[in-house]
Amino acid sequence: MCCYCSEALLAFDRMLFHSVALRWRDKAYLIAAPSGVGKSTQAKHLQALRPGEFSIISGDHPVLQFCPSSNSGDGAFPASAYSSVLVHPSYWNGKEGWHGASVAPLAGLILLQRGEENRIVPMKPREAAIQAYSQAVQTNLREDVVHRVALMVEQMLKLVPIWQLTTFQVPDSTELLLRTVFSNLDAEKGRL
Amino acid sequence: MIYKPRPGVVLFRICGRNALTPLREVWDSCKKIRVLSIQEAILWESLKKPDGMQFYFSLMQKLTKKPMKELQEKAEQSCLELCRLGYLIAIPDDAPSDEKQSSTQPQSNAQNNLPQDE
Repeated sequence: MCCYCSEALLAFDRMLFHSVALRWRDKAYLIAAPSGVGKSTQAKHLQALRPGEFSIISGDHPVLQFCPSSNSGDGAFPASAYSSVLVHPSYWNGKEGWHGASVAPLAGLILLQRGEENRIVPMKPREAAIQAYSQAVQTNLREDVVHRVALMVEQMLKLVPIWQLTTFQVPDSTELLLRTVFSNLDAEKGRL
Repeated sequence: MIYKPRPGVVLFRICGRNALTPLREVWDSCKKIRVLSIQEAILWESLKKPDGMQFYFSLMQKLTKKPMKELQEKAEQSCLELCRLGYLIAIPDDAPSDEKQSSTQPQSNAQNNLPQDE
């Protein structure tokens, strides 16, 4: 059901993306990974470590809305068609049923994986491409849908910073995420 | 052995990378997403054509200037691997010619659809 909805949404420049969508200081951050890797665990620890700072837009499948650039033309789909991505709540919120925060512009993507150590590194779109594409929800029934999804995910990766978070143990990996990503964003905001 | 792309497998490009993904109809025959090198992506597109392997070798010789033997060995390795993963179908040389033709329909845009590196 979820994948059919996502595919129907493509015609409206929207798709479902398998991730936890967090809202932090009026911006949205996605933690994406296959099921069972620990997206919800990271979200839970972020909320516990910084009470009141993080709220959840969607616990499992937020709707991403790709907002066209003002110069993208009418009906065409040029390479730089989108200028921003909005993250919306959806009906699908995972086993915890987390939701509640309102729509926010996407400001970062965290690709989560398990490993032998806690580590976080910034990623280039090319490095993140296949991992991110794999989390876009689709039916995989038609070739044109595959190409469309790939194009939209590529646009998203070019618009926002991406990090690869390797988690060995929580909450240590969550603290690492807070220190390297969110504290740096705090510092950047302070400088402005 | 003649190798043909399995119908229902899609070559797509994202952020300058080439990858194969199975559509739902062949979901059980293939192993998820497979990232391809640029040479493998060109091989995949070439195999959609009749005499695809010949086309591939002549193109790669022009592009890389590598000896034919080296190209053949590498292409054979790639084909075996993609066959093992279910993305390519291997057809014996002595199979009826209609079987060789019908295993995959060349796409209308295959001629100009060769992947390009970033």
